[in-house]
This record gives sequence, C-alpha cells and structure tokens, in this order.
Amino acid sequence: MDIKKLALRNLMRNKRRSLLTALSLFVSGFVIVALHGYLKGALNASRELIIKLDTGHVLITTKDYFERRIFLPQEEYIEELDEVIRLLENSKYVDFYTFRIKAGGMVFTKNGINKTGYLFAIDPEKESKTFELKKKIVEGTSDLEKGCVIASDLARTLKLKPGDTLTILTRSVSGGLSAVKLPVSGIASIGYATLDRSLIILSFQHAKKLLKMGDGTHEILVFLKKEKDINRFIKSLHLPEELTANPYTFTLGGFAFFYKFADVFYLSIYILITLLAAFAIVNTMTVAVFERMREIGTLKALGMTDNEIFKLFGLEGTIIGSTGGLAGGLVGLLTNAILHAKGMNFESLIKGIEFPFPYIIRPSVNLWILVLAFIIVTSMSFLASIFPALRAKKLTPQDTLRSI
Amino acid sequence: MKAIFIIMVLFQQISPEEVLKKLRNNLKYNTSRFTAEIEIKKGKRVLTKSFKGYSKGENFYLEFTNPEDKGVKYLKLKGNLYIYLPDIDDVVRLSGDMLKQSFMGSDLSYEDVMQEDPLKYYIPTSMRDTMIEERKYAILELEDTTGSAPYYKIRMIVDLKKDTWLKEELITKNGRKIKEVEAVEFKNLKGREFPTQIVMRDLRLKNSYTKFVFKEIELDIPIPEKYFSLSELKK
Repeated sequence: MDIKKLALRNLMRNKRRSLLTALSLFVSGFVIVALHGYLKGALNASRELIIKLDTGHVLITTKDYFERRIFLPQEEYIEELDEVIRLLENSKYVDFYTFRIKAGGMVFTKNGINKTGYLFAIDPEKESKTFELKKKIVEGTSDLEKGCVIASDLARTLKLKPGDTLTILTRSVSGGLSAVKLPVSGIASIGYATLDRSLIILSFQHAKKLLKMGDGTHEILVFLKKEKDINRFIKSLHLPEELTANPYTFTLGGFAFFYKFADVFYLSIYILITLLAAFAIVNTMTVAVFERMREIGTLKALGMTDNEIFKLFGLEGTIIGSTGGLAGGLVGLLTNAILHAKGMNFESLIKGIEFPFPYIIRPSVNLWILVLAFIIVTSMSFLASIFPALRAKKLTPQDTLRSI
Repeated sequence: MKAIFIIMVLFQQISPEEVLKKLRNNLKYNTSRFTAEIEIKKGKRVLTKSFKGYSKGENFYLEFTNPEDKGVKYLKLKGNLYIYLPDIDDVVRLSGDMLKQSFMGSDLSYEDVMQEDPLKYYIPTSMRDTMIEERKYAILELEDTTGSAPYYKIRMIVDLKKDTWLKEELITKNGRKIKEVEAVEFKNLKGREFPTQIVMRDLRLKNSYTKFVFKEIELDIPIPEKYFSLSELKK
C-alpha cells in the first residue's frame, strides 16, 4: 500500500480543513523568515553603524583613555603618532585608518539657547566610505575648513541654520577652559538618535586648536581588509607601552554579547511560535482520527499494520504543516526582498532610544533561514502529529465497530 | 529637686534643628576676599589651578591666575553664572542642565560652586552620636524637601563643640552615595572654625579627587561693588 499516495488523497478529501490547518503553519513559517530577516538586518545595520561611526574594526587609544572612554577623558590623548602610523602603513591587514578627536562641550548661540554637545573631529576625505559626511548633509555644505557641521536635532533645538555663528566651550587637554566661535557650514542627519541630538563635527585643525593638543589625537580607527583578521592584526601590532588596540566587539561591551547570541535566543522563539501553531495540527488530526475510526478499522481488517496506520496519520499531519510552513517562508522571503530594496524607516519610533540603531533598516534576505524555517515547521508538525497517530495506531477493529 | 535636675539635663540635649542652624551660621558671612587653589586628580594626571576672588551676599567673582586658564573669569550675579573667555573675548551664561557640568574639570559641579548656603534646602531627619579616635561627634542626616538641592540627602559628621562638619556624604534619591567631602584643615576666622581645605571625591570615578585650598581668606571686609558687574568681567 502506498502510504504517501493515501495520505495525500486523504488530505484532499477535506480541502477546507486541510487548508485552514496549513494556514496556521503558513503564518508560523512567514513569521520565522520575516522576523529573522528584520532582526538580522537591524543587528547588522547597528553593528555596521558602530564600526563606521564609533570604533572601526580596531580602536587604538591610550590605555587610560580606553578605561575611562565613557567619560570622554579628553586630557588622555595619543601625543606621538609617527610610530603608530609606521606600524599601520606596514601592516598587510589594514585597509585604511583614520584619526578622531572627541570631546564634550557646551554650545552657546546668539539667541541665548545653550546646550551640551559632543564634539567630533574627522577627516572627511579619509572617511568618505565610513562617516560619509557629504551624504549626510541636509542643509548647507560639509566644508569643515570654513566652519562646523551640526547634527539636525541639535540644530533644531538651538534654532541654528547654515551661516549662523555658535560658540563652543570645552576643556583643553591641560584642563583649562577653551572656547572658539565658528560659523555653521552645514546641518547633517547622522541617522542615529544619540548623535543627532548632540553632535558637532569639526575639522582637525579647529579641534586641535580648541583642545590645545598639538598634533595628537584621541583615537585611531583602523579598518581592515577582512573583518575576520581582527585578532591576527591585533597580535601583529607592537604598540608603544601606553597604547592599547581593542577589537570593536570588546569596545561594544554588553552589546557584543547581544549581537553574538541573538541568533540562539531568537531560535528558541521561532521553535516556540511554531510549536504553538502546530497545535492546530494536533486538533485537526485528532478530529480526523475520531471521524475516520470506521475507515481505520476497515484498513486494519484489510491487513494494514499498526505501524502503517501510525505512518499514515503522521505523514498527513507533517505534509499539512510543512506545506503551509514552506509557503509562508517563501512569502516571508519575498517580503524581506521587497523591504530590503525599499528600506524601513523607524525614525519616529527609535528617536528616543540610546541603543545604536540606524533609522533605516533593511531586512536581510537569506535562503538558509528558509531552510531552517522548513526544518523547524516540519519537525514541529511531525511532533504534533504523533499523539493522534498513536491514537489511531492503538485502535482495534472492535473499537472501530463499536463506534458505528 | 532631683526631678528638676533631670529635666534640666534632658533639655540640654541639642536638637538636630539647632545643630543645623549652628552649622549654617558658622559658614555664613557677608563678604569675603580670597586666593585659592584647586588640585584636580584624574587617573594619573594632576592639575593645579589657582584663582583669586571676592564674594558679597550670594554673588561672587573669580579670576583664574594659573597659566592654562589665565584670564578666565566667573561671575555669579543674581542667580546667574557668567564666564568670561579670553580665547574669544566674550562672555557666556551657563544655565539649566549645564550647571551640572564639572567646574574646570574638577569633581565639583557648577551647581556645587554656586551654593552660597548649601544647607538651606535641607531639614534634619536624624542625629546620633559616634566616636572617632576617642572623641565624640554627631552623625546628622539631612534631606532635601524642596527639590532644589543638587543632592537629595546629606549624611555628615559634625563636631558639636566647634559647630562645624568634618565629613559629608552626598546621596541621591535612590540611596546611592555619589560624592564624599572631607574638611581637612580649619582656620579660626573671627571666632569661628572655618574649613580652609576641603577634599571632594566623586565616587562614580576611579582614582579621582579635587582638593580645594584657601591660601588666604578674609571675611566680612569691605569689597568694592565694581567686581559684581558684567562690565568688570570683560576688563
């Protein structure tokens, strides 16, 4: 007896019921693929944002600076750069490197509105692939030689526009108060809530003059040719005693753990969602066993073994689930592909969040998650079918005759 | 007779409110002229800043004299804090949340510096005795009921004989101790024990302290009014 043909024929006997049952697994398959695509896209975008804007693949600083970096210890800076530059230029792992000067400061405007700000000095040419300042400009220009660029939310709070002058007050590296008046060259939308609320971008020339730090820098961001060479690169570096090189994963602190283990955490959620959806199969197949008791008795009387009965009902439940799940997964994948091309703008939702999330998120499109979803849905469907199949298996011809 | 004696002894116990009043009075003066130094330690670095200044009522004028900050002036006038910056030859006014920023990189905030009577927002909630090096002191706990004080709670060790505090713990509303202040040296000024050397530690930072030292100080002397004007700042 061909169990597969029999199972398929039985499913077609009540198309509506089979379809409705498959629908719950369709939803499950869709949710797994779509949700995973969104989460992966969000995490990847967040990670990339941090690497590009904050840490590079490897961050070189003084040891004291790294230890107290959340307090912006602007008096801790790398004074002698020649040796470090030589090491980086000679490294086979390095794609490029760039300097950053960072400080906390206060911003004063002529209209009397004042705010604390986060001062950032970058080399826009070197960082055309990372910071991409020109692309972020929404008003004015990115000319840092003539003035400074203010983040959009900060500009709105201070009621500033290109051409206005602001006063920046900070502490020099020797701890004294230092100030400068600069015109606003442009306004930029950084795409990251915390920076959009506070960032003031300066040229190195202005920052060094303001902080009175000679030719030094606070941070050296190193971008490698291949991310997987991070540990090899760090081992190959022989930095002066007072400096330290740290991978971005270390600099991220607790976030790194989240990025690494998000996959494992969400896998358990996918399984749970599918298990809940698979209860529809338990319900459908249990009703089917009850309705087909006479048929089961007849099949056993005709010589079908208990195991074949078990396989038959098990297969019916698994086919419903896996078909529904696969269809849902495919629709999920298509949805991700469309949203990846368009991008999803979450600016209004995440504006208040301090976690480094970009405003635009593009779900990731990955075939392996479809395979994983199919495996999860099929396994859960099979598990859900076991109980009713066992029930059918245990029925005797006498039980079925009693039901007539 | 015995009863009268017991009642007299009981009434000699000083109340927490009286202790607070005496502490405030001890630190109260109408005018002052001083030169001072701040030593700021952050990690391995130690910075020293020197300044001179005047105060009158709730207003004060400070002028920094160390090379890194030479020419920087502060003026507190009618509750506002102004800073003259020689780099830009201009005056800025600090307000709002900016006052919570660090004063010249020290563990003191601008808010701390602006308090002419730091204990005025507080009421005492408890007092008990303690022994330190065989001497009796009181531990007085104060709480801010106005919402205006920079710290919700203060726990201080008080020398009841000298009407002065030796140590303060500054505590947030959720019970976290964030700063410690210790009066290390005193000088007798016009009959009162006045703290002339204070060390503050911000407990949120590792390896950090601020030492504030009055090199010279005179209280309740005539001070020209000219120092307490914005025009004096730009000179």
